[in-house]
Formats: sequence, structure tokens, C-alpha cells
Amino acid sequence: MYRIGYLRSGDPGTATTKAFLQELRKLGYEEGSNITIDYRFAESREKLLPGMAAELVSKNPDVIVVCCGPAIDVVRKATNTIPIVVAIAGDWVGQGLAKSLRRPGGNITGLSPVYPGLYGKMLQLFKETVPDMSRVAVLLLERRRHYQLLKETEEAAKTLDLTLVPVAVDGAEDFPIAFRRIESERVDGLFVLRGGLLHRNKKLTTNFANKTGLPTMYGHRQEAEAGGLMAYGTDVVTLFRGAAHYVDKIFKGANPAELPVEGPTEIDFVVNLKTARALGITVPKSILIRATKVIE
Amino acid sequence: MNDDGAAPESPVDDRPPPRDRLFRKYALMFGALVSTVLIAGGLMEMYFSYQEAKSALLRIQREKANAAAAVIEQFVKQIEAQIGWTTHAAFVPRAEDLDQRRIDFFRLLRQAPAITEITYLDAAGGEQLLVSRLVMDVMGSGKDYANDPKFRKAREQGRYFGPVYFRQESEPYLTIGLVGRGRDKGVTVAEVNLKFIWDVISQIKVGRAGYAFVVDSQGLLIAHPNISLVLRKTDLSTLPQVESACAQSGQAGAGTAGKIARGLEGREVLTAHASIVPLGWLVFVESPLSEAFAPLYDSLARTAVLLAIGIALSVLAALLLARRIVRPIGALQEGAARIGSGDLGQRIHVRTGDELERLADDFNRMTAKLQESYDNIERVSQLKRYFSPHLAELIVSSKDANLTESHRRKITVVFCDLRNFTAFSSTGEPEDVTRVLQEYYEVLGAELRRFEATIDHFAGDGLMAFFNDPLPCPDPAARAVRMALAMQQNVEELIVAWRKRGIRLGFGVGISSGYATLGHIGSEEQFHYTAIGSVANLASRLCDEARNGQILIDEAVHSEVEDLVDVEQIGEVSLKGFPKPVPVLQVIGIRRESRDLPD
Repeated sequence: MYRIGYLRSGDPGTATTKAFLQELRKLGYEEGSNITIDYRFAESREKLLPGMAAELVSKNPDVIVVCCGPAIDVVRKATNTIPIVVAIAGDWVGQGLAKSLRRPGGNITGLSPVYPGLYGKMLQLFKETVPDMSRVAVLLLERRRHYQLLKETEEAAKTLDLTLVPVAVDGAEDFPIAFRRIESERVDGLFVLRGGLLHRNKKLTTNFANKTGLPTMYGHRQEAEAGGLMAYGTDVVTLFRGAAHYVDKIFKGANPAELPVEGPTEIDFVVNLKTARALGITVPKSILIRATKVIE
Repeated sequence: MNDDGAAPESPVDDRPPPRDRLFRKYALMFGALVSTVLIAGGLMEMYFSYQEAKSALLRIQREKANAAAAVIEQFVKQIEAQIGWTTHAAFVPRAEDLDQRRIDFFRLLRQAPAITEITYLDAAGGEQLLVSRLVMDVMGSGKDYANDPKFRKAREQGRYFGPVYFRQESEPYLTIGLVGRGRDKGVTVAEVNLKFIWDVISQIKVGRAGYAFVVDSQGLLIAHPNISLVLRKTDLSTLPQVESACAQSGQAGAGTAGKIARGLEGREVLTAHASIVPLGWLVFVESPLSEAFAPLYDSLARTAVLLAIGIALSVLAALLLARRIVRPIGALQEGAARIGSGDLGQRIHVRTGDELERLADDFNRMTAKLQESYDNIERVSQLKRYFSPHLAELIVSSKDANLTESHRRKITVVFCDLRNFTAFSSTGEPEDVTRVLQEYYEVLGAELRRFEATIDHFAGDGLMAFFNDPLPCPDPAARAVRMALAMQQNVEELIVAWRKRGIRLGFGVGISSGYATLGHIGSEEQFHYTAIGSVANLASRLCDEARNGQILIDEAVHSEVEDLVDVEQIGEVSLKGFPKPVPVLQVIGIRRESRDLPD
């Protein structure tokens, strides 16, 4: 009987958790028969996370699955012996989660949706969709890593003749201020980086974008499905399925220090034509050819 | 030391062999025989089972390897084909054509999820187009790849397969280059994510601990269920199975029969492989020997248990069988022991319906014969008391009854008796009479034995004996006379003793020679060996005539003993039963000259 500790900083993400359990079942693990799962959801109340992490650790699980951001930091401190599978983390080496992607070297391994140059790709697709775009607001988290990404993206922006305007948020309360700032900056496009907080508040962002008629490029498909213009990136559901495979490997005796971090393999490209029509944008064929999902 | 040099039997070995030796011997023999057969059979079966299990497993592994190789080949071929679709026969690329190609590349990215990046190099090796899933597309960079193997090799051989490399240090990639068709001399290069191959390989399971892995043509590990081994760029070219497989690679499709070798971890494994032809890669499917042979070991254990049961049963059967054989033999031995200790009345009862029963019967017959012999010996000793010992032995030892059949022979007959005995026996005390007779016969008996006379009969004080029958002797008359003289001498002493007791008796002897008829007279149950004829009558009458101390003989006797004894002529005497008077002589004594002669 294996034991899994499952810690989420947000809501009980039904889609992701369901996908995780489904994939576990495919690998032969059934809750109640050969695995037990302890669930803890902080629902954005970060203060609860340390207590929850301690609880999970005290139950002595065979593995802890965690996502994202603040939850990861807390669990790291709670144990350095119990294997930890991080479903989504963008900055493995920078955050000290792993010594290298090839060989994490500690008790933490997992998946990364990030690839160097990916944001450049996204900008390129964005620009191809809205060729007249020249000033793009970049909504990011007040995090060193995001600033790094921003710098990389600025290189790409130059080749695309784009000016980037970074707008950072640190908490849910920052969004209104950010939106006001974006409006004042007179940009003709909005580029939202991947980040847990940003993903959790996608409704706010998409509403704002639609209200202001801003074409927006997101990192998560759900945003495009929720009304954003386009999204390019690995689906979080896919990443949680990947997490199940890591759990399986660890149950079979793999050492997390030796399990390399998995990069993005399946990229979803969602284009919302309804939004495009509303924004008066004609999406070129070359974009549509590459889209994995087109919403009419 | 015996003459033939053999070691003498140790005197201590007179002990009989231990009991149950035969039983133990046979039981052991049977048990050992059957056990040996069972074990031999079992071992042979185990050997064949081992071979069968091994070849069956190798077959399975070979098939899995072939299947995996086929899947991977298929995967690569398909990508090749898909890339091929993007090259157009007739084009020399121009700007617009580049646009078309770009669209084709987008389509390719949609159709082939394993392809992450496609590049088009023009006829001079310059990069004209780069379309990627993960990074920005680049148009017309002109980057020079003229000397890059992916360009050169593709141009030379039509296609190019690069070595496996890793992106992000952890993702395996393969570069495939394909030259254009017809007038299109450019090269299309695709970067292929090999995660799909990793999935195929890691899904291969053989039993609980068997797995598959892939090495490239140099023996470098490129896929393995344990990813870290691949990422460490493990070189397996030193493993014997890899080495030999690489050596014989180039043979399409099928792998070898598979064999036992040392695997990655150093354990012994069953290994089979197949080659992936266009790439020169090798798929190995291995399972640890211990696990591979687990079902075999199970069946071996089963066989061993059955064998043990079989041996136990055979031991039991051996014991029973040995008992069945040994028991009648034991009965024989016990019977023989009893008989040996003198109990001749015992008979051995063995009813096995075979040779042992016959042996027992023969044994019983032998015992009966033995008993007869003993009885005979008993009879002989009895007979010896009635007859002269010689006659008794003769009768007993002679095989036929001829000796006692009637026959005529010349014998010398001796009659003797006591004078006045009749009167004495009727008036004397019975104890005295018996005592006198006992003393008398002791004396007579000693002389009869000494001279080996045949006793015809005795009745009261009268005795008839004869010489020369049934055993012939050379001097019957002389013996008779000497015997008579000895008797007379000894009885004379008795007479003196008796007179002191008030008993007045005398002793007289009559001896005659002549032909008589001798043999058994009487009925079947009771008979008597006797001499019949006038010679007997004559000796009887002579005895009647003899006074105390007289030994009377006839002419026939005299003629035989002339030189031996001194005689006195009595004259011719008329004897009852004889028509003419018979010349009678009296024996006085041994002549002085003859006295020194041995008796």
C-alpha cells in the first residue's frame, strides 16, 4: 500500500487532480486498493501551507506531489528525504529545486513547462496573428525568474519590432492596479506569462482584455478557452498526467535525484476565433494550420 | 597359511552373520535400484525441462525484440516518409516556394508530433528555413551548414541519421536529414524527439524483472527503462552480447537465437536482440536468469517433490518386497537352526508357491531322512545289545537285505549251558537266580564279544552262538574253541564263588562244524537270525553230553584245530537225532606251542 501526499496552493483543481488520478489508474494504481492519498488544498491561503505540509510529512508518505509556487517552497523546507514530485515549476535550477535538469540531485523532481526561447516563439506567433502590433504589455509575477524570462523575451521582441511593457503583480489585489496601468500604457497587445497566480486569476485577465479589446496571448489553453484570443503552451492537465508517471517510477524504486526534469513535449496551441472576430482580427492561415484547437 | 596362499579363516569368524542382513541387503538393493532409476529419470527430465524453458523464453524474448525493432523502424520510416512529402521534385527554391515549404513544414509539425524542428538547407548548405515548435521560426538566415555532416552525408547517401543527443540535458533527440528529390538538391533536416521510442522500450516487460534497451551502432545506450543510465551516456559496447550483436549487425530484421550472458548489473541474463535496420541500432530484450527460470525452478521443485515421494514409496515397496522374499528364507533359516540344534521333529512351513516352497519341501525331506538316520543309529545301538555289534552294524549299514536272506554256509556252532540250573532256578530265590544269570552272561558276553561270535539265541542258562556268519572269518573253529576255553576258565571262577554262596552249578560246552542254513526266520514283525541244520543239533547234543568243565567237539572241529589244542578221545557216542554214533573228542587245553601265538 503506497501513500501519496498531495498539496495544492489553490483550489481543489478538479481537472488536474482528476487527470492525475486517471493516469495513476492507467498505471495500475487504484485509490483505496493499492494507494492512499492525503489531500491538502490551501485555496490561496498561503498561511495554511506550512501546517499542511507538516501534516502530510508526518504521515510518512512514499511521495509528495505538490503544485505550485508557494506550496513548492513550503514542502521543500518540510522534508528533504521524502521524494517530492513537482507537477509544474518553471525555474528548477534558479529556484534551487535541482542542481541540473538532467540530474536533480536531491529529493525533488518533476516537470517544467518552460523551454528557453519558448516565450520568443509565443511572441512570434502573436505578432504573426496581429501584424500591426507594436507595443505589448507583459503581465508577469513579481519574481526574479519572470524578470529573467522577460529579458529573454525582450531579445525576441527586438527581432519582431515589438516594444515590451512589463507589468508585475504579486497578489490578487494587485490586478486592478495592473490593469489600470496597462490601460494607461496604450499598448496594442497583452502577453501573459505563465504563473500560478496569473492562471488562477485568468477570469479577471480575460474579462479585462475583452473589455478593452486587447488581443492577448496566454501560456495556458484554458485562458483561450475562457475567452482569450490565443494560448500556446503545455496544458497543466498534461503536466499532472506526467506527474503520475513520476510517482509510478518512484514507487518502482527510482531515485528522484536521478530522475531528470521533463520539459515541454506536448504543446497546445489554441486560437479562439470568436474572440478574434470580436476583436476584428483576421487570423492568418499560417497560424490556423499550426493551431491544435480552434474555437469557433 | 593354506597351500594355495589364501588367508586362513579367522577363528573368530565362527559367529553367524548378523540377523536381518539379508533383509537389509535386499531392501537396500531394491531401494537403491528404484531410487537410482527415479533420480536418473528425474534428472533427465529436469535437464530437458531446462532446455525447453530456456529456448521457450529466448523465443519470447527474441519475438519481443523483433516486435520492438519493428515498431521503432516503423516510427522512423514514417517520419522519413512524412519529411519526404515536404520535398518537391521539380522545384529549385525561390522565395514564394519557401513560403509554400513553410506551410508544408507547419503541416508536418501537426502530423508528426515527434518532430520538434524542421530546417531546410539549400543546395549550397545554407539554412533557408527553420520552423520550430519551441523556438522562434527563422527565415532565410543563410547560416552555413555546408560542412556539417547532416548536410554532407545526406547529400552523399541520400539520407542521414545523426547520433542521439540530448536537449535540455535530458531529452533524447535524433537528427534526420533527407536530400530533396529530382532537381531539389537541398536537404531537409528534422529534429526528432525520441521520447516515443523511450515509451515503447520502457513498456516492454518480460516477466517481473525482464526489460528491453536500445544501443546505437557503437554500443552506446540510447533507451533504457532507467533513464539516468541513458543520460549518463553509458557505453555498453563491452558487454559480450552487445559486442557480438554489433559485429553481426547489418543482417536485416531477425536477431540471433539468444543466449545467456552477463547483463548491465552483472547478473546472469537471458538475452535476445533484433536490429533496427536503417539506423543500425540494436534492441536487446533481457531477463535475469533467476526470474526467467522461476517457472522452471517451480517445475523442478515439483519434480523434486514428486521424486522424493516416489523414492519414499519405492523405499516402502523395497522394504515390503524384501520382506516378502526374506521371510520364507528366514523361515528356512530358523527351521534349519532348530534342526541343527537337534529338533528333528520340526518341519518348515513355506507356502509361497515358488522355488522357495520347493526348497522348504526338500529341506523337510532331508530332515525326515536325517531323522531316519538318527533312528537307524538308535536301532543300531539297540541292535548291538541284542546281536554282536558287527552283525548289527552290518545289518544297518548294508544297503540290501541280502545278508539276512537265507543262505547256506559252513559254520562252527557253540552250545553251552549250566548244569543243575533248572533245579536251582525253581528252588532258588529269584534275586539269586537273576544275579547268577547276570554274572554268568556278563562273563559269556565278554568272551562272545572278544571272539566276535554271532549269538543265535539264549534261553535261561543256555546259549547258542556261531562263527563265520554273517561275517566270514578265517578260523571259525579255532575261535570257537578258544572262546569255549576262555568261557570255561572264567565261569569256573564264578562257580567257585557261587559254591561259597551255596549254589552248586556246572558249565559245559559243545562245539561242531558243518553246513547250515542261515537267515531270518519268523514273521514280518518279529524275526530271528538263526542257523538251522544238523550242525546246530550236534553242538546242542554235545553240550548236553558235556559234564561240568568239559568242552566236547566233533571230528570236523578237531580237524580244524588239531594243531592248536590237545584233545582226548571220548569215543563214539549215540546222540539223539543222529542215526549213527558220532565220534566225540574233549578239548583239554591249548598246546604249549600255540600258547604264545596271539589270539
